[in-house]
Amino acid sequence: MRPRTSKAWNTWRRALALGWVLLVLAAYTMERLNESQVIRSLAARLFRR
Amino acid sequence: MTGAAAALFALLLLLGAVLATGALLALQVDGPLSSVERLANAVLLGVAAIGLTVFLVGLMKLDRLTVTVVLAAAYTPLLSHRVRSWLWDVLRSLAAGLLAPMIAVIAVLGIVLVIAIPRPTGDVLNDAIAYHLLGPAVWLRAGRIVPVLDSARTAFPALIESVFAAGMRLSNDRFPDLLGVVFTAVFLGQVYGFARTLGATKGKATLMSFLAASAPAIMSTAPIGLVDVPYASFCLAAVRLLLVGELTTARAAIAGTFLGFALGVKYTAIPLAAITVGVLWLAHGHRGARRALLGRTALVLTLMAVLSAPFYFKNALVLGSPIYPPPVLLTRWFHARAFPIEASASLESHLSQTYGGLGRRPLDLLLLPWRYTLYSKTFGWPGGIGSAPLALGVIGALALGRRRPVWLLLTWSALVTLVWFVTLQQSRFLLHVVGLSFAYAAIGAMWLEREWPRAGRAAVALVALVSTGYGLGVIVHEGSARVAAALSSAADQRLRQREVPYLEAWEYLNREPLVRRVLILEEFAPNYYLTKDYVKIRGPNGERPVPGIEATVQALAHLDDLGVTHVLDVVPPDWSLRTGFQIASTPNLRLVFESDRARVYQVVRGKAAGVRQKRHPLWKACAEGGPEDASQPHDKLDGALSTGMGLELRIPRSLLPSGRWIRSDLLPDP
Repeated sequence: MRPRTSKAWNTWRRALALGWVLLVLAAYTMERLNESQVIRSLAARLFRR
Repeated sequence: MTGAAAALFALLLLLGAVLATGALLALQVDGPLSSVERLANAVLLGVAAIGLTVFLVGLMKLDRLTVTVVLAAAYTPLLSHRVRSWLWDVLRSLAAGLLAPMIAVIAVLGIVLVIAIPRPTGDVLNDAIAYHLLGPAVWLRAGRIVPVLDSARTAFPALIESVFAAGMRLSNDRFPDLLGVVFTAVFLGQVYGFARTLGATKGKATLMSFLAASAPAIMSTAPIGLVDVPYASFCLAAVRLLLVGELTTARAAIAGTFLGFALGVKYTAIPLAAITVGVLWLAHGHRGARRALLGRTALVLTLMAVLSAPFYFKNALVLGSPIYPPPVLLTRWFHARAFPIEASASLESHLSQTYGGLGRRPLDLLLLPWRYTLYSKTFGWPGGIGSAPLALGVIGALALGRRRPVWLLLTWSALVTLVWFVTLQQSRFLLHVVGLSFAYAAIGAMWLEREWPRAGRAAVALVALVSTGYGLGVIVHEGSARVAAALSSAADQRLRQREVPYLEAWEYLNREPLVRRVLILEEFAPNYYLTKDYVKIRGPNGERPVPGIEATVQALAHLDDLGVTHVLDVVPPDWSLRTGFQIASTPNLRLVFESDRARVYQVVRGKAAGVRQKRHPLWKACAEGGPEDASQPHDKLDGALSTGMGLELRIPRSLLPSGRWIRSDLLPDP
């Protein structure tokens, strides 16, 4: 096992942080899409077309 | 529009008084504080000082002259050159440094101000209608602060409601909602201030203030007469002085004042104050500082106790319990007026069920930040607080967690959240922690952009775009009917038709000169809309405001004793367990108004009624459980009905409406 260098750790840290932000953002967006009647009705109209 | 103009004018008048008094107190705070924090402190201290004074004076008299004198006295600090120059410096510095960057926040506040203009609407499930505004409305009619026994929650600490009452006395019922916008501006300023204090740049602090301004969970509570935002602001102001920076005697005094005022707004400040003092000892409790800390803690506790005492003493003296409605635990020692023990138990159980939306298991606690962010609809506020506190706040907290003030703030937030989790889970009861999380998010955004410039910036931009886009969309969508109502009287009437239950009945009662005092039979009827004297025999939380009269049938037998001129009978709300009207016309009750869901009867007295109006012995029979104890002989009792408990009650002819019924579920429990 290679020793953990600070550079490698920093990269992991950044990737973790960015991954966390994107995960929350994706979950938040999905939930809002699910919740919003306006967006759902728009999507339904588009789908019917 | 004249109503709106009058309310806005009263608000400006109050704001002048608030700034004058607030500046006098806020300038005592030494040590580093930004201009926005100083102004926030001044507004909070000024509002609270005026609210406390109005409350104390209002216990004796609450008329226009009294309110005017209090406000005039609040302006007197402006005679001091020191106060004027302090205020001028703060306002000038804010105008020069923050007005332009905060333009987006100011624009959102402008929208919310328009949303706040129409008169309050809603049913009894809306806390503002159920008690925050009902209390002031009844006090103003009575000419002083009186207990409203049919709505126990009007006895909650009433610091902010006293300011509502003062503004309503000077203008009208639009005032509280407009004042709510001022509190929201203060809260957003505090978010900015905390972010700057923790090390965020002006840009990031402004961004987070804007993100908070587009959070429906914060902004939707602003213009509807609730007190959660000012409560959160008092808590944040206290924590800012106690846990961040050096604790001088002056800072301890003002922080104690803030905590005292928080106790004057909500009972939930009791555990919060204990947690705050505990964390203060964690912060400064090392051996060398303990002696000085002891003195400052004593100062904090003394001010807290003194400033909140009027609300709790009033309850103890007038209503029999310092915390009213009393929790079951307190009923051992205190016998509350008009609120039976069963009502306490029922209210506790109801609150526990209503405010337990996210679960109470340990796993639910771990998942709380995630669920609080995503499933905001649980609390009835779609859009919630946006994604920034969770996405970026966590990173900010981890990045700064080793710094002492941040560690203390995190500990404080965790403990306050824990109490919230085990007691009342309602998103708006946790806005102080949410405010702090936006400040952490500012640091998180800076860290991400520094560590990974391009991807980090893009991620922060996405978070901001999605949260503000959706949040502002929800705020505008939800508020569109009120915006229209603010601009057109036809839209205003439509809004009231849709959102005010039994509107025509209230309008009839308010309009008719013969109506002087109304018996309201339905406990869930929102009597806030009635501008005349009234009596209810049951309250929505199990209140029993009239001793000895607990059921409709008893009330009808005591119309003279109750002194009512009219009786209002309505079809209960859909979520109620009951359906349909309770009574029908009788010789002494003449139907004078009828709509689909409401009927108004005029009480006919004397010979016109064709019956003898005197105290009927039936009430005694009902109260004691059945006809066996009634002094009325059975042969004079013509009707009978089942109580559903194996008992049958006989009803005298005079009380039987056209030989029909009086419903069994309206009778007292045997």
